[in-house]
Amino acid sequence: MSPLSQLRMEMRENRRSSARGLWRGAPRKLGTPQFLLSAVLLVVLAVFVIVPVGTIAVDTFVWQAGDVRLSREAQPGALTLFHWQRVFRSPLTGHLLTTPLVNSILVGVGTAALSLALGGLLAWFVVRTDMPFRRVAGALAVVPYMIPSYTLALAWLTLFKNQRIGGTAGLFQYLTGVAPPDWVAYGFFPTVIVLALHYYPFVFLLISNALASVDTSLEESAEVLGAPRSLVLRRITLPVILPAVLSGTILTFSRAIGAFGTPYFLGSPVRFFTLPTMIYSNIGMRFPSTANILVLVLIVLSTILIFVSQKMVGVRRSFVTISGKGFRHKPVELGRWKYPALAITGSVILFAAVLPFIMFFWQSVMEYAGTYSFSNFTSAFWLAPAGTRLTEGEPGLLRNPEVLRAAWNSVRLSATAALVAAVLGSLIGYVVVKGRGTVISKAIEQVSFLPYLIPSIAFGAIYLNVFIRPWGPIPALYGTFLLLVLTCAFRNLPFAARSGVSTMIQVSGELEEAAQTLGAGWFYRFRRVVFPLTIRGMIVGFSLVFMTTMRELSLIILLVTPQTRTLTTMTMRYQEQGFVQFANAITVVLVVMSVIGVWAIRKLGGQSGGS
Amino acid sequence: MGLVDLRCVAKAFGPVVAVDRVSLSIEKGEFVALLGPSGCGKTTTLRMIAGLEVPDDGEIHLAGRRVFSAQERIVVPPQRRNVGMVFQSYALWPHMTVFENVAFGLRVQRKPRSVIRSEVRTVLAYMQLEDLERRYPHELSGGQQQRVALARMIVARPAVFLMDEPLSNLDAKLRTEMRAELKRLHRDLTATTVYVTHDQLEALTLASRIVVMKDGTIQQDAAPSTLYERPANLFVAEFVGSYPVNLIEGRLAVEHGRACFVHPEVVVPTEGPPSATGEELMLAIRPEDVVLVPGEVPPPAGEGGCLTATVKAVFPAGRESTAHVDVGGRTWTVVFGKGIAIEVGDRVNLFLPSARILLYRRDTGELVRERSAGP
Ligand SMILES: Nc1ncnc2c1ncn2[C@@H]1O[C@H](COP(=O)(O)OP(=O)(O)OP(=O)(O)O)[C@@H](O)[C@H]1O
Ligand SMILES: [Mg+2]
Repeated sequence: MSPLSQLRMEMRENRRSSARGLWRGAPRKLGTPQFLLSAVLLVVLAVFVIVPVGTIAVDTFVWQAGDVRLSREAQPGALTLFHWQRVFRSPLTGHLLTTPLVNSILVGVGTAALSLALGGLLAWFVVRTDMPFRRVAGALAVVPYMIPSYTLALAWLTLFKNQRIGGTAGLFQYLTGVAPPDWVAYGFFPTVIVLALHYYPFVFLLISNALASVDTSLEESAEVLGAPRSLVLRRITLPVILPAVLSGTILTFSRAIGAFGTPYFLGSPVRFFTLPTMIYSNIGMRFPSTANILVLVLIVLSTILIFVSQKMVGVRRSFVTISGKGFRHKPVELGRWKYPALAITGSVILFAAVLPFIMFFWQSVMEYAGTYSFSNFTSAFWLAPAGTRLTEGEPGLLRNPEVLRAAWNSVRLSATAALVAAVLGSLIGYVVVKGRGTVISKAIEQVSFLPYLIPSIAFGAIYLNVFIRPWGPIPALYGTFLLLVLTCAFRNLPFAARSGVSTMIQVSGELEEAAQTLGAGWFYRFRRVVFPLTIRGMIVGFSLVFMTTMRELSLIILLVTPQTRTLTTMTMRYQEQGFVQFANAITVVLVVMSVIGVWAIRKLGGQSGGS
Repeated sequence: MGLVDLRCVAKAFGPVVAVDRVSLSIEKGEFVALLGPSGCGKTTTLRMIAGLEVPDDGEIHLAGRRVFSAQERIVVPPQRRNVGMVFQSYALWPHMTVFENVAFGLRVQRKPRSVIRSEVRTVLAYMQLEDLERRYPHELSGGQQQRVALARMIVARPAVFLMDEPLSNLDAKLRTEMRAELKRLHRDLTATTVYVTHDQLEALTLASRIVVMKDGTIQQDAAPSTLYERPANLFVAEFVGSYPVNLIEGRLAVEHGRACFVHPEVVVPTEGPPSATGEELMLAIRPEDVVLVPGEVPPPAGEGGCLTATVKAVFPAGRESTAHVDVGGRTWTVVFGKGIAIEVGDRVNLFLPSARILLYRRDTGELVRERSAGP
């Protein structure tokens, strides 16, 4: 370094340090619409997320009414550490905590890896290659997510069940005469497969959305420079879609460790417990405090996960891939890999969506469950008038006013909750991205993700506890449709918020600033610039929440009343009463309605999303 | 008071001081270029004028109105500042046609439809875009996108045009074309313009005034010719000019009763009275001011200093060739005409006219002795 440049460096240092004292007392951005919006969102999140979670946390330190069964020292209402000791330092720790915790993590890792592989591959095929039937594949690839995951587990049982849990054996044994071993039929292996088949569409949507917004000229420019395709993929494409990949992985992982239905049906026969099924079993046995502690463990687990992932994503966040400059897409030519690609895509969709659907339908037209022959056919469960003997007096599904009302409730609930979540999610995305680096932005992002860490069944229980009585200005909400909407909207807010954030990141800040310098006030530019540019992401958020809510069971099972009953809760009722055919028929209706709903959303979105 | 007035404006991003107490006054109709290396705070300055960035300190006045004051906590948001901005990325809205992009500013102002249509058409015609009004931004070439961005700004009739490296995404030919376009624009509209660039050729050809920045501070604020002839400090001297400036270290001493710049290899009498002798100095001279004296020809008349140097490289280029020569361990660039033939390894004589040398203090880098007005 020459003496001169050294000198200049010193001069610069001097100037900096002397200038630093001036920064204090500078004006703040208080009062801007963005700040006000952040404040409002924070309050909303506090009321519907932080307070309910805080309430259960506090409850774990208090003797509950039912605890007299556990200990003679119990004095309902008084403070105690008993519940924590029971879970963490007692002979029961292994059974209550350690084993389920390890199982949950294993299931989470397996599911995330498999979903990422399936979803990423399919997204790339559909968005960026010249694979035949791309559009159809793109539409069908998300179907598995519309089928309730527990029914996919039931379908697995129908196929592979052996006689361990009694009753008739599955189709596999019916056809081959060979009984599937336990590890195929129950426990870890089927749980991971079923969950991955159920959750990969999520990764698929996120990644295909990101891939569709990547400026292909980035890749083309690298190819022009002579980089081999694998290098381009690794160095250009992957880094740009990495935020979507990471969000997808995190969401799948936390969803899988929080999943209830699938590990419940597939795990119980071999006493394979995960944290959520352990929570459910404790709620069932009326040990709410133990359940709440396990809920908190799950929350802590996922918090660590997010902290780590944010450290990783945070740096890469700043990729701005939609700029004001337009760009075009050029598909990758697969050549002789065209048909293998189609075969992979086809079989994933076949196993995750088509086969289960056929099985449900088939089972809904069987006079006697488990007998797969044509003579066993009946349409009674669909069409019979009231009073038919075979159906024990229940009218066929399509003539049953209760089913129609439940269907209407499902649609109404899903649409309203999805709308609330999508709007909130977009606003959250906006303030988080615009206020990047500020404390309030970080707080909003973290809190909006919190519901994700709470298993559905526990989230439902928490809302039931908190909103059964009037709370501040909020009246008692139990039994109202509004409570269902709030539960589903806030439980699914993380989907919508993540989608909102990743969309907003893609919309370069200058696009809004350009409108601002032209005199557009906040509402005007939000309506004319930000909103139209992010509507695609909002529709993604909406459809995610809509689909989730359509097939939601464990979240609302504690909250529905006969007036607010949905299709899923009716399925549960029929299953409990042993009407397997009715249960399957309703599942068929549910899937058909979801598919139509999503198709309609896409149609609408395709039009308003324009250009 | 100027149309745009910055007083002691400062902005830091965390530990990075992007703009450090900048004061700047721009008169109506001026075309001011903010010039400087990457990261020196040009964009931040421009964005603070637009209101897109809130300064930490200082005051900003626009058209006589105080739009920012740290002391009194006044922050007028961008949409109420009546400034126009062209972004480096153009920031055209991909979901709107060319017409809609351009009409946006007028729609915000709630002008009647017919007025909007005619005004947009006028501007589009002026920018030679009339056939493209139904296209979307991704259907346009880079130059056309640039024109749309300009049209979008012009149509709203802002008091100040702010442009952030508007030509940096264009190829060289288009850039020359658009430069002429911008010149025409400024002439026709006599719009006050603040233009950010790190391309000195752009600044020198377009601007009526150039503000050179470095590390968030203003180094020099002067007309293009002054900037070139009399750089206020070593940084500006080195930054401005088509060839790197020639430098050599020495000190001020009195010889034969004259104040002279003294270096073991060369002594150059300076103009004007001697100031502090013994001062550590840096002599700077533009390559085109160094007179290359071939062979035995006597040095040209006039005051100056002579030195001998070895030729390290020659770059013949028709009418005006350049060569690199070694002067006291430093590489100098010299410019010479057709008549002179030199080769690598030659010893050549260089004549440094007193009237063309610039002397800078080595401790502060400031200009100490301005050369007197040209010969
Ligand atoms: N939003 C921001 N957050 C953090 N640092 C920033 C931000 N914007 C600018 N800076 C920093 O402030 C300094 C000045 O940046 P600025 O963009 O004004 O430079 P510039 O002169 O426009 O450079 P260029 O010619 O590369 O565009 C740089 O060091 C930059 O890293
Ligand atoms: Mg810049």
